[in-house]
Amino acid sequence: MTTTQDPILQVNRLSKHFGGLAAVDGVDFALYPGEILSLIGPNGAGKTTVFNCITGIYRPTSGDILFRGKSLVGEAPHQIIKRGIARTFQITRLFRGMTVLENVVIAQHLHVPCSLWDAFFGLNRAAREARRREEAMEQLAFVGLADKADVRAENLSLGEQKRLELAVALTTRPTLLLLDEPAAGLNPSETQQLDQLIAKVRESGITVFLIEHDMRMVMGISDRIVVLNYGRKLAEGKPDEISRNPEVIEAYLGRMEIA
Amino acid sequence: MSLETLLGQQILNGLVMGAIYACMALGLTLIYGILDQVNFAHGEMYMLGAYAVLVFSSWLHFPYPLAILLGMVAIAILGLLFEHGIFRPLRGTPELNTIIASLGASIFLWNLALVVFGPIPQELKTSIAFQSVQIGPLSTSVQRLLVIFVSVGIIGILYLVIMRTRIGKAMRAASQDRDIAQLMGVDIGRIAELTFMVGGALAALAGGLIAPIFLVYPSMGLMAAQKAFVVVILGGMGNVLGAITAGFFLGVVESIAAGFVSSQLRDLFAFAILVLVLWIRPEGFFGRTAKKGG
Amino acid sequence: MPHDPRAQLVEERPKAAFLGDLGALVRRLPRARLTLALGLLALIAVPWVVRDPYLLHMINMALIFILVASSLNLLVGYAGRLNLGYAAFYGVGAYTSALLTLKLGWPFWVTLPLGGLVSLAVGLVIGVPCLRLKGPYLAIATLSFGEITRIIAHNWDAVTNGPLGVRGIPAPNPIPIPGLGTITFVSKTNYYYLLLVVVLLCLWGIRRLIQSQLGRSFQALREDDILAEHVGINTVWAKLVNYAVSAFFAGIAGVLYAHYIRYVSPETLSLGESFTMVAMVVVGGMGTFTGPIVGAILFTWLPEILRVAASYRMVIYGAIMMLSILFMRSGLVGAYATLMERWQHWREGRTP
Repeated sequence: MTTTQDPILQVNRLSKHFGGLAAVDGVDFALYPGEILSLIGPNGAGKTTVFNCITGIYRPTSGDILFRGKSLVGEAPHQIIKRGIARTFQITRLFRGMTVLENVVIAQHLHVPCSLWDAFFGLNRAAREARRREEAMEQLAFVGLADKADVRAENLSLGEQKRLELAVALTTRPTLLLLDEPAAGLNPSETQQLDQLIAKVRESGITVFLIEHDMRMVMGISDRIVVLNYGRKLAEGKPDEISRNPEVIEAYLGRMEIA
Repeated sequence: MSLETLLGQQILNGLVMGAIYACMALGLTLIYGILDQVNFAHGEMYMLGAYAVLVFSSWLHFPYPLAILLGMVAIAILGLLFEHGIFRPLRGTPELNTIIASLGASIFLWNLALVVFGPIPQELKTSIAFQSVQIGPLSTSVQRLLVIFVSVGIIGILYLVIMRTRIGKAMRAASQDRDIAQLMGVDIGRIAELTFMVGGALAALAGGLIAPIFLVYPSMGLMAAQKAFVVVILGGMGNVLGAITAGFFLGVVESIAAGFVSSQLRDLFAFAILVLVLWIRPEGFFGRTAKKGG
Repeated sequence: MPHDPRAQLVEERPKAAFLGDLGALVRRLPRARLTLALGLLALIAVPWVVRDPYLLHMINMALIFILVASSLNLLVGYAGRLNLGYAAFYGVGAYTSALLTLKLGWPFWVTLPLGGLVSLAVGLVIGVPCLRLKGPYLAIATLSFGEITRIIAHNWDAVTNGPLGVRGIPAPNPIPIPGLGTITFVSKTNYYYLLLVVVLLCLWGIRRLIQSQLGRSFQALREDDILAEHVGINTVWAKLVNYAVSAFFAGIAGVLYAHYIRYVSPETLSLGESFTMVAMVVVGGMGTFTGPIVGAILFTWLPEILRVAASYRMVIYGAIMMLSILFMRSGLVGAYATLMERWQHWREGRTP
């Protein structure tokens, strides 16, 4: 993780306006391969909007987002996922009516045949399905949900749901993982498990981009931090620099959660 | 007849249908705006309202205005039944359930009417219905004028109630955000009941007013409901003013198109407009963008 | 005995696993293939056992609507895209084949797939504007499209013969078999075999589709379409394929209907028909494979079981639909599966 490498994600003067309101206003930053970058800021600062612009839910009003040098503005989410970016959501998104195992199996979409032809005439289905199930179970083991494979997603606890969301995102084999407030609603022991999980993810070679409010987690796990306030970048740097930055402290006055 | 007179005549006729559409759409849009549920049996409230007025007026020989009032009360009660029987148990479950349940109710009621009243369209005679009236070069009937004025009157009263009274405020609060309204003390259950009763009464009014002009038959609710849906979407689902405006708009446009292009394809215009609107601007002309979820 | 999750990859909702995943069930039975073969034999033997032509007619109608309901289920049950104007796809197929065979003399064996393809095209025409719609908007839009199609059929006298409909549709062209004579398709028995072959083939196709990754992506659309995009599913493509396939099979069913009853009219495209089709899927069990089959048989035979006038029937349909959604959310199949589960638990509770 050095800044002499080319950035894996480059955000240039990103702006997103809704009607007259600028949710994100001229934000620049870069992510480097293998690092964990955290995006923090008070509520309403525009953090999730940045994520939504990256994964194609919103189209930026202006500015550019480059993934490995190529712009991804204007592409549909599934194309962006195909390029190697995955994400989780602030409010957990899962295929709720389906089991844990099925959730992961569906997420293998990009790496299995999914054409109409294959649907009708694909051969050797039983063997392929067995292999898919095995791979899905491995993914579940990684996040510690192997024993819940048969449970319906909606019946999991919040902590388990977040882990499933992570497993689903990882199944798409991303090189960049966006996590939107993964620790929200978790108790301290669950948060610690999450911490370890994110570390494991980084070890496997995936770059992690994190939105979080839990400052202890952010300070502990991040290599660098970007701070947003009212849609603009307030500061960028290493955790100890940020924690001493007077503007950041002021922006958070009274709202900082030192857990 | 000169072109202006023809146009004027079509517009006048269109206002009649427009008033009916506005009444129907208003009820529907209130239900969707406040309760987030779609009532696919709304057309049957209209149809049963017409039959109710028929029963009170032609069979029981009550005077027409009284029959209309009683009809509105009867269908308001039906609305209450809908709320308790179908919509309350399904509130909070996926939308599909309410759509199908109310669809079932629609099929049930329309065919029940078919069984009870028979398929032959029936006449609702009132003493004054077909007395003709001349307004300048345009001719119309007393009943048609009644439709316009009574509808506008009732809609106006309702609008004032919604905008000026406390209960109206509660309704508006509930349509913005049901949970917060509840936290602030609004009794959602009561509001729901009220909404359905108002919706039912409006539909019955429309049915009762139009019955002397067109006949009363069990499937009259089907097309009326579809037109009402078009209007609701045109005006923006949940938008009261939009529903009223779009109702009159559709009535007039339909009438002009039927008069000048083809009366056979009269119904087609409404659907064509709907398809166009859904393509270009699903929120309708007045709707707020993406009301809930998406 | 711990439940091995790998043994149960359930395509459909777990609740209906027992009855819904017939395939897995069959595979688990020791004499699975024998049972399947016996079942097939039974189906083939039907016309020999059922001698009454009226009963055979009922079976034929049921077969046609099994196909209709199963393909509507792809749309409504699996992809979660409600459609209240489904009779349009079905009717377009029927009219297309009827007119091509009657007026242009084309052979049935060509117009059968062609009817399906024309319906597919109509499915795309309707599906594209509906892509962005959800919930009540989608319901109303599809209802309107259904009505538009009916109004066109009703008024386009030159082509569709207007409200009078198309009469005297020919039966499928006879197939000559060298040495054994020709097979005609006028009799109910022979038409039964035609239906059996075509419908079973289509059901096989639908089942393969449901079990494929494409089928899974349909379900992903229903559960959470934004998440579906974020696991790499091209939701626009998936929705269109879903519409196209569903419309195709509906069109095939329409063609089969037209050449059996030998008459189509705008009534075939009516709202009542569309609603009945939805009822079949919903009451039978949305999102399961066997649900629509059960629903189709129920709603095709119910009129005869009740033996009363059409309007009484519809009253009961409406009541069934309402009650079904209020009390039996997963349809008959789901209710059966829940019952089986409870019975299973009860049995397991009794044996140590």
